[in-house]
Amino acid sequence: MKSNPIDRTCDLTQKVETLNENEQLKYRSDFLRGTIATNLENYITGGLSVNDTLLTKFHGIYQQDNRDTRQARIIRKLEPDYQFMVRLRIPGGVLTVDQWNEIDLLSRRYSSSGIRITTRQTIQLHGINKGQLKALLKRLRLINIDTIAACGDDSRGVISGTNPAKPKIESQILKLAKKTSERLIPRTSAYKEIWYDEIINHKKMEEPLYGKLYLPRKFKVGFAIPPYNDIDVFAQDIGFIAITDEERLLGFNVCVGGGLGQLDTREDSYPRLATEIGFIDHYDAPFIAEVIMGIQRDFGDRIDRHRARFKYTIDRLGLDTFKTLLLRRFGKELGPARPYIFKHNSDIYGWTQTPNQKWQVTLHIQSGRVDGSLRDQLSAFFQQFSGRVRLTTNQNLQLQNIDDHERLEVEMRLNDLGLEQNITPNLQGAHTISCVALPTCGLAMAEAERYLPRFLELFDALKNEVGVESIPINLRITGCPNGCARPYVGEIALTGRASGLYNLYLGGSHRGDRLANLYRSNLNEKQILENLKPLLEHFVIDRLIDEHFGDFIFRKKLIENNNKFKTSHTYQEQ
Amino acid sequence: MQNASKNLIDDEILIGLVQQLEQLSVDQTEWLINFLKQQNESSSTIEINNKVRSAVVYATETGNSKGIAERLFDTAQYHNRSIELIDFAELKLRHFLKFDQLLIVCSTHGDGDPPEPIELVYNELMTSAISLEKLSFAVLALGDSTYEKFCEIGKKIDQKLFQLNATRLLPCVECDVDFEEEAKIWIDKVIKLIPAQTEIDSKQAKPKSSINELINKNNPQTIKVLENLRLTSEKRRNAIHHIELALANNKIFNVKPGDSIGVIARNPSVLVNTILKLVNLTGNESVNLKIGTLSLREALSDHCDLNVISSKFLEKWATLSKDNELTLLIQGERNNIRSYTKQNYLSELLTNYPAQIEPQNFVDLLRPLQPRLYDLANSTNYINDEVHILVESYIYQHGGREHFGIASNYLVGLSDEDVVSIFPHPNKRFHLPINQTVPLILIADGTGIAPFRAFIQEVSINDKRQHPIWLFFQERYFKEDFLYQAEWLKFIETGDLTRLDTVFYKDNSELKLFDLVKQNYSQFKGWLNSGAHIYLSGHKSELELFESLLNAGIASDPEISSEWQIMSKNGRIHRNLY
Repeated sequence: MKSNPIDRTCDLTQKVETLNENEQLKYRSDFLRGTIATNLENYITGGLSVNDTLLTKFHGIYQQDNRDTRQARIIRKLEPDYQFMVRLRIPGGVLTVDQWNEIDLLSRRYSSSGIRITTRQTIQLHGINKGQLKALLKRLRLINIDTIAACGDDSRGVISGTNPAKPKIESQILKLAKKTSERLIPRTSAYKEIWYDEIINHKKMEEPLYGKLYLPRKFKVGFAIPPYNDIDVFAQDIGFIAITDEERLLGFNVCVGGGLGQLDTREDSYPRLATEIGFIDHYDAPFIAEVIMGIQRDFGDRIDRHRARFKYTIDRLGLDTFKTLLLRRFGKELGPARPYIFKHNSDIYGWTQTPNQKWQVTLHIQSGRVDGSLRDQLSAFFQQFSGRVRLTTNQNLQLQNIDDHERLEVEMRLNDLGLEQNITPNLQGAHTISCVALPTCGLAMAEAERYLPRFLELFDALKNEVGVESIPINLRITGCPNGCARPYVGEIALTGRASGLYNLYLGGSHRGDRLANLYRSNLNEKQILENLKPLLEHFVIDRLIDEHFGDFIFRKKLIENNNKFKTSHTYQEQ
Repeated sequence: MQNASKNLIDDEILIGLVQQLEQLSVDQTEWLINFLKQQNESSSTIEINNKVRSAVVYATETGNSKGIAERLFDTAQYHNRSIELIDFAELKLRHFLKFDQLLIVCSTHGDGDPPEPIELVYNELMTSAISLEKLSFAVLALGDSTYEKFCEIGKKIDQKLFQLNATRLLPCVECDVDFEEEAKIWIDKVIKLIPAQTEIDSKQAKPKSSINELINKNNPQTIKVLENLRLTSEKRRNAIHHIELALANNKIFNVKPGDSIGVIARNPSVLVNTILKLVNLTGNESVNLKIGTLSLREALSDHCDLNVISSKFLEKWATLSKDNELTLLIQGERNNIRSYTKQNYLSELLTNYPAQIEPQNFVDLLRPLQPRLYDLANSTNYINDEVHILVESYIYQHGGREHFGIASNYLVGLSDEDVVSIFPHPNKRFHLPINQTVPLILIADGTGIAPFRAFIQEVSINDKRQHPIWLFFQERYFKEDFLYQAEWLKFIETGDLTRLDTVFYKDNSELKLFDLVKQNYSQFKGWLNSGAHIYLSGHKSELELFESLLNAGIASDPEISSEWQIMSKNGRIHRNLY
């Protein structure tokens, strides 16, 4: 086979000393142990050492501090109010009621701000004190939940989409998602030693899949079931798009190299949608995921951390070289990609009946935050519920497997508890996502979750004024350019630049298959609304039937395609 | 000795000195000899350090500014230039006065915000009107040109320093995210502006100021409050404050770590008004005190104890009030008098047994307001023109009412720029040991930690002192009451503090101070065997309990059962209990 030799000057073939600091840290960490165990016993600080905080991410634990009290504590000669965010690993996002109830209890005991449902279909608990981490993780273990690889340079929680018309296929894919997650997570026994106090005689090679360096950056895998792209499959490092007939799961179209994070300060940093590379049989999904992750492990950039995501590896290698590597390692050709259609990337609201005579309903949770009275309402509801709970990638809570004869009772109980407003939420609110941002996220430059209610009110008023209140528009608000609430696939997105200032992105599709473009930089609230108003007015006049705002912006070329990366993905136009 | 003196001291002054010396008693002479010796140890006299100081200062959010500053610092060292490397966040406004040259590398965060760590001092600087005539400076501003307010903070600092009369060495340089090249050019330029090591020292050989005024109890110094910081949370009623006071440079204020600061407190005006009302006086009446004539209000506020009743006062008051009950009391047993004066305050006596009294008579009968002692919380070698104290607001119940301790609440209520009268008070038994390498075990309860801050600061800058230090500390809540936590963490990092163990009894009521010793007993024993000195500082009852448990523990260990006696005999146990 003829091909140019692959440039290997920045991957793991180089000497460890020449790689970036994070790589050296992983290398020296003794498979993610570092000095975490010792520092947990250090009672004179509520924090861990800087190096250990990088390692605990692989264990699903982020050190943060309350930024609201930072300055006051400096004056008081105290260290920052260190606290930890613990992210659970719930591949596919499905919980039993017992699991939910226990997480509810744990959040009351250990967390400072309830439960937060994330955009990766899992749960974060914020504000945990260092001294309580072990106790929390041991309690979670009793309900079969761990936090391995919920953060860090490894395979993050695998997400799995919904399709109420095909519940059997949904269950089948959920199992595949779990299986893929099990296959891709680190094997190190450090987790059990540190958090469960187990003494383990570990083998010499603790990480047959990862090796000492783990991955160059985080790695995200997700499964979508058309016509719903609730998981934003094109934002994944590996996306599996289910190809089905009426009854059966046939296989998946595989797409690779999605990723939304970017740095405003670097020209060679960009969000990228995943590229479709072909079709595989469904049972091959976990294996091909491992193979593709292996390619990223071996060829990803380990010198420049900002260019380490898989999307850059693919662009650096070239898609053809990547496919050649894949063929060699996977052992067979992929079939040609098969047709499918995506309708939208939001959740399905309201009561829905599935073909197996069961019902499901989605409860909208603003910013995924379950705290205060909402937590109490849900807690009361779950005292008697025989179905199951599904967390969605739009930060909502779905109640599934409700028997036909129970439906009315469930509905009455939800109403009695005041939860009907979560079932029929404000339309725009149900299409709005924010990241956590201040006060706990260390990266945030502007407010997001705390700003959402105010902006939503203003935006709704504007939509009313213009007369587009009945059209949902995917709106995303984030505190920094990193992309946690998937802003770059939003129809409208605000990404934080400084306190009260945002970049305005427009023109993503309602289906999550086209990137938004930067429209204006550094706008304050007034300017954001002033910029949106004429566009919405134009939309009212020139809109095609059923056309979404993002598509309108794109069709009318109201925004120039200024993405640093020109996507090679071909959009399916409906 | 005399010969030497003659050469150094002006004849007239010497004669005066000798005459005064002759009036001293044997004890006083001995004290003076000791005192002069201490002066020689250099750890006691406060002098403002007048050496030219140059520093490269960085204000950083992501580490870029710090990186450049460090490069400048290394280059300067290589070229034998004398310069310090300082984090802008560690500066306070007043520190700008201490430097002659500041080379500032400053980033801008977001759209024209200061890097978060420097927010406080930056805002202080921007609103300040101090004069920085002595200072010269150069600023390298980092920024991101995609923001409207590009390099805003660097530019603002540059303009502000210029406005405050500092001299600009170079025009402010603005760099975008690709700052490397410009930073290098800037470093090359400024490096030439930093005076070489020797140059500075010769330039600095200023003559020492001549005769300095000695501050003591009889000659207290009235000085400015630099800062009054509440260290504990807003919710805590008995707030603990860290107070920094400015020393003047022409006076001798003799303190060393372990000593106390005497504070002349004032009565709160509410109390003064109450008392005046009870005795039917306006406060404008003139009275004579030792220090001269002043108004009654002033005398009551600053010089008389308005809480505690002396037996002399009680007797006189019985006569004045002609009250039978009171007369019976003073004619009865001394014990009854004592218990009355102990249980009642002046205001209660005046309320229950009203009487008229002459203003002069009144102030003569009242107990003089006693100075209160607070432990020195800093080493004056570490911070040479300030004294720090740590004060817990004292609030207590008496007769069904809440009372506020006079001195502590006076101090806690001081504002920046207020003045307060203080004097040094030696506490010889609580000084650092003469042996400069023995281990130190420091046991602190609450504000008792103050002198240990002074100890550790002293050890950290005195190269001769090589004590391993083990600090034990007890307070209420880890998150809110860990006094000086950030400083201890730094001292642990630099190795000046070997080990720190803590009890926070409101977080965990099971754990007691002595448990820390039990948990680490073999190491503790090792320290005792290496001749450790033990210092106990804080509330008496707590630490006496601790000491008795420790004593019993040691006595029951045959290997070191005699150690406690030896330690006591050799003066290896030091107590500062209140």
